[in-house]
Amino acid sequence: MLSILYVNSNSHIHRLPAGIKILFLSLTCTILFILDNWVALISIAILTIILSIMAKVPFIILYNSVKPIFFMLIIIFIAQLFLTDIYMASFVILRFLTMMVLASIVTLSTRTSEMMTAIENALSFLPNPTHAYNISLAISLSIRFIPRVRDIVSEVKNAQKARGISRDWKALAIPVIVRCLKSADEISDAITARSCGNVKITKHPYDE
Amino acid sequence: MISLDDICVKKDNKLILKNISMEITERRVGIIGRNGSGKSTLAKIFNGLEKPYSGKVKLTDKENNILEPSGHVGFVFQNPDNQIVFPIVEEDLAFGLKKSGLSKEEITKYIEYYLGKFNLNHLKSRYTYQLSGGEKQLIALIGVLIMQPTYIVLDEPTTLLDLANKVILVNILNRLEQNLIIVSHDLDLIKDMDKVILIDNGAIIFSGDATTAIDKYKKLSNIKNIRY
Repeated sequence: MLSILYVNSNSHIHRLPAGIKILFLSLTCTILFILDNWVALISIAILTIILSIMAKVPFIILYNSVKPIFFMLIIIFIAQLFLTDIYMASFVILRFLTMMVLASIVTLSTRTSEMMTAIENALSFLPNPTHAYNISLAISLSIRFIPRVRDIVSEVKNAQKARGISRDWKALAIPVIVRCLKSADEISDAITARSCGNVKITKHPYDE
Repeated sequence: MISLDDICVKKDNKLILKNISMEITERRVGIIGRNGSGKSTLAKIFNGLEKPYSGKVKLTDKENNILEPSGHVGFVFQNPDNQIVFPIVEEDLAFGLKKSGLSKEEITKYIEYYLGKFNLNHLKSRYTYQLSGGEKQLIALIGVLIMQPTYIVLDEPTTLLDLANKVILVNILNRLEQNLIIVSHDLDLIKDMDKVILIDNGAIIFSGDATTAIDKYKKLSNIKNIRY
């Protein structure tokens, strides 16, 4: 199933400018790393829960958006257990989880086009405005096409299961990479075709 | 009018299109040919997505002014999943207009106008990845129409559609005022074109009325002798 990239709502969090949300996310994540203590971590974790309620993002959608990293969190937890102790391991995991949930709240409550405009504005200091547009477009596209890549992986997996191949990572990786590259080619052609250079539209069809 | 003058396209040292020359003055033109014949490459030549190795592409308006192909020839791809670049219909349709000099309010008006024209206003706030195949193809087409191109090139527009969606798309295409160039294997779609170009091995082997082109295509495909 495809993951949801944006939850349509009219919450206060949705209405906040995308730039403010991205800045808040960056600052909070930085604070989480600077203030290396439980009080700060639990306070931010509680704030995150409050924000998720305010954003009116259904719990199941939020859970699905962070679920893919659970496997990585388990590995980090085990590694931390060996390197430090259970308190430090729990601290690191809660910190990662809080950051992931916060980042998910930001993406689920911000339209890709708003995110793109915010990134473009933040990069306005670049000498060439086309570079800022291209960078923001690239970031937005990488968010938009996560479901497409997941789709490709699942199609290839199913095709291989149907042919009796299972759990062969090499057999999975190569067709997935080839299909992703082919899709990327077509997407880039489509963007070139749709951007249409800098044609100025002066004819207003709805006035006719 | 679009004119191609002695166009050659080379890929990996192999000639994909060989000395293609033609003039497109008709409103609806079909391009047919076997798999690997060079149809899609030819389609991409029309709006500059494919650059010819040699030869010239010229696009002119009624007053014979030379136009830039990229801004005046829209392109609808076979797979709308690769053409739709934003997760919400409204923001995807706004994508092409962003650099057109229109204000935010005008862009919203444009989107509502074009969705309303095809009775698709209910899709405005929908997630693009949750649309049906037919709806995706229509949104991809509207994404091109909204840029008001003079020509629209469609590459296999009905391949991924079921019968009902195909009928809807064909009806919409028939209502469009733009000049259409349709690359397709779908002979039902091609049979009503004003002119059909049959291409094989990178060269034009027929250009003329649809009935003759389809007959020649069937002979070329040798369907009577296929045993599988």
